[in-house]
Order: sequence, then C-alpha cells, then structure tokens
Amino acid sequence: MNLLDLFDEQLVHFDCEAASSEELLEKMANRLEKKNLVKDSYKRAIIEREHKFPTGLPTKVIKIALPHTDVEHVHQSCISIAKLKEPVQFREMGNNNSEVAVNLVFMLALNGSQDHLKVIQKLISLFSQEEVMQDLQKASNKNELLDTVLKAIQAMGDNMITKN
Amino acid sequence: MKKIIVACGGGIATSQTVAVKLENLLKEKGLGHKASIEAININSIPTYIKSSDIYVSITQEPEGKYDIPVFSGIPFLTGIGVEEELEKIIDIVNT
Repeated sequence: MNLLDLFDEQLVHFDCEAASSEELLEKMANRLEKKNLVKDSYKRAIIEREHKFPTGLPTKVIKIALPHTDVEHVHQSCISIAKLKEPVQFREMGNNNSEVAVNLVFMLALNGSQDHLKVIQKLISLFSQEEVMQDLQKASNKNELLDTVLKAIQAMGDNMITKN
Repeated sequence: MKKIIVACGGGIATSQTVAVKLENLLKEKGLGHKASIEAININSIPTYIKSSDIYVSITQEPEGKYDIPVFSGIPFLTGIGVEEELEKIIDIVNT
C-alpha cells in the first residue's frame, strides 16, 4: 500500500487542546480505538513508550513529537496528526532532562516493523523541508494541514510500504 | 574501515533512520568506503561496543560510560547542528 493511504482526515485533530502530553496521546489514541484501528492495549502502550523513550524533536520551524509503539498493538496501520492550539510539553528524544513545547504531533500506529523505518524516514525528511514546515505552521484548517502533508510526501516519491 | 553503531532507546526504527541518513551523508563526502554503519538494539550495545569505533546515540547516555567516542544522533533527525556533529564523526573516520 501507499504511505499516503495511512492518513485520513478523520484522524487529524486541528486546534487540539490538551493539558499534557499524556492527555493528548490519550485523546488521539481514543479516536483510533473507536475506529477499531488499534487494539485496546495501544493507548497504554503508546503512553508508556513515550514515557520511557520520549519523541519530542525540536526541528527548525516547528517543534514535533513522533510517538510510536510496537506493532502488536495495531490492527490496521494509520497515522494520526494533531496540530495544537497551545503547545504541549513533551520530553526531548535522547535528552531526558529537556522538554520541548510541541506544536505538531504525528502519532504512528503501524503493524509492520519495516513500515516504521520507511514512515519515520519520510517524516524526518519532511521535517527538514523548511518551506513545507512553514506551510504546516500556517495551515488554518484541517484540510490545508493534511493537503500540505500529502503533497509533500507525494513529491518525495517512493511511497510504497508493506501491504496489510 | 571504521565501524559505527547507532542505537535508539526502543530500537523500533529511529536508529535505522539515523544510520541511513549518516551513511548517505558520509557517501556524499566521499567517505562511504571508510565506514560501516549498523543500527542496533540498545540491549546489544555491550556485545557490539568492543568491536566498534564510534557510537551514535539517540538515547540519554551518561558521559564516559563507554570507551569509544559517543555522538548524538538527534541532529540527524532535527536537521539542527548536522554539519557540526558530522564533522566530529568524520574526524574520527579519517584517523
């Protein structure tokens, strides 16, 4: 399947509000669970993993978090996006003592381990494109946000991932 | 030929992402033949560390814990400070 198919407008939270990273992850996971895309173990797993191995990344334009967890908690691969109304504190990847005020979250729910590699690589190259990131920051609604992500991923090419 | 290992906390995919990125950057600098890069699970570090020359870490590591030089893999993910970290790695690759 194509990486682009992992995104769904219904999995995009725009102007999302949450008091903590845990509350945000819970909110995002709840939606996936309601749509039966993940098992009921996913929510706990993603929160615990974020606690143990934080994913906050202070990239140049926007501060990002990239929560992900093991494949066993996922029924059907998908990616949920949240653009936050007010930044939420995540701990920084690789630096337990530092926090990142995150504006944009890409939460991965993938059930193929090779997919994680491909998807994270694509997203990391997306984060390095300053123009795209500025467009994401400026996006004024859910569709604009998702369109910008999809167009940028499409422009990179080579988007096939494991079929599931 | 220097051996570089990359490890992240969870070992799902972040270490592979950094390994591929670093490999491409070294190739661009014409140093592809001078280093081999492997993404490993953090639990395998004790096994790998003895036979490696450089450790690129994506998790918190206490200073001086290892006998080989340790660098941060985070710049390769955020794009901030890539050249600086790359230069330090290249200095060792070239020794």
